Amino acid sequence: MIEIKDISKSFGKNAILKGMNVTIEKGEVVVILGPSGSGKSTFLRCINFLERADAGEISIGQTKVEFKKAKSKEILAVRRKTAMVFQQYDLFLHKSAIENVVEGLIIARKEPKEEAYKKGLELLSKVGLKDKRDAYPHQLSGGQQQRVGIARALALNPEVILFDEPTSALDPELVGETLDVIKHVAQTGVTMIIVTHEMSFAYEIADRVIFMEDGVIVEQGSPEELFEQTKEERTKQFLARFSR
Amino acid sequence: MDFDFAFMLEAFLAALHYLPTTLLLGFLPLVFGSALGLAIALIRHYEIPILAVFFKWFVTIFKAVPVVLILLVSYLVFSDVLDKIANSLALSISFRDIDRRSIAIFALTLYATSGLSEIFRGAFASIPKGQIDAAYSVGLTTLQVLRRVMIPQVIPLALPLVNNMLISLIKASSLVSMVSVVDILNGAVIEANVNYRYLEAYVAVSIIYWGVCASIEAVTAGYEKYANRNRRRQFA
Repeated sequence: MIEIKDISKSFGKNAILKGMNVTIEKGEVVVILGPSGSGKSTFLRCINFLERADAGEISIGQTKVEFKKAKSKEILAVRRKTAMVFQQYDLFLHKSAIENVVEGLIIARKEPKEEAYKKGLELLSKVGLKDKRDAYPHQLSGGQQQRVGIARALALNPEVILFDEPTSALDPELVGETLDVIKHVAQTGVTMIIVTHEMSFAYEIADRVIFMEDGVIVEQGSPEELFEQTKEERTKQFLARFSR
Repeated sequence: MDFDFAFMLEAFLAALHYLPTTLLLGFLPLVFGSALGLAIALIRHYEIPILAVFFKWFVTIFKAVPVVLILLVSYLVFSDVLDKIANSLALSISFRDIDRRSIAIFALTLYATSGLSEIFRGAFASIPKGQIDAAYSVGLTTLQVLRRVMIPQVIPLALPLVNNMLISLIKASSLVSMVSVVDILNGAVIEANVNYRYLEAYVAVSIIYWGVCASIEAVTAGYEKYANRNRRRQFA
């Protein structure tokens, strides 16, 4: 279980997160929706300390840390229980697909090389890229790069995978293959927090949908509740702009 | 105007005798300057308090001062200060015993350090920030991110400019006669002092400089091709 309490974050005078509380059960898939600038990405980036939140605390499994006071050891402990998939894929450009996947295993987790490569290859097959194991990022399409990014996150066998708009930078015709891989992963019981603008995907995959704006949760519930029995006026306005 | 080819060859051979000095004055400052420049670039990249500001000024000053002045000032400071310090510490070294080349290497290192630190700083800044986030997100420590993700990408990026710096250093080393070091230029000039055939001497030395710099260029071009094989289109 992951529990995030009272998280807030400002950039200068600009308050991005204003005391959010989110609890996620093991195996739950949570989709976060919201207009740009609502703090969705910042929320994800604060969870694994890519941004340092100003207040609040997080507990993942046995690890419990206050955002503001966390020391580098604690930060590392949280990061090693989480993994992230980035909007711009952000693969290591000087490493091949398989090297990207095993980097965290070999260097951060100190796993034996042979085992790591075996696991890495399995994961590349899982995302349909076994034959691209030695390709460098520049030799892969955006969709393929993002699938390597997903394999890199899966390799760490994390308590939760954070998806930060995983398909926003992709060509429309490559979105499908990436979403399919994410759906497939979701079915294996991995806990996920997904920030996305793909509404039908959200509807299909989510156990719970959170709509947030201005750094607070406006409304949350099951996809049916949020999309079909919308309570808040603001959520309705937002959803009206997307035709599913 | 007559051009004495025989004397040119003579001057060429006389100058060639001092080639090791010129190479030393190019390569040693490059090695020292790369180590110090990398350290400064990292200090400034990670914005380490006080030191970052200090080195910002260091670089600003030395980038804007001609090499010849760094050389002359170093010489004067050394000649003045060294004996005094040695005296007060009761050390038995004196300025007269010091190899003048070490002063030249010191001065050229200052010049190289400021230039190379800027080269490395630029290269660090050009690594897409997302990759560094990604490296942290898979659980790498700051040091591991530096060693596994940043340095391997910085080196091929910086290499063409480091190569330029080496060539600049080789050429700047021709100024060291001002602090009475004999390099290839000074060696040829000494030869020409006998018969005033300076033109032949200068042409002879030019050929050596050209040969040295062209070889450096060729070696780095080869290495660059090798190092870049995996990062074509990196920033496309």
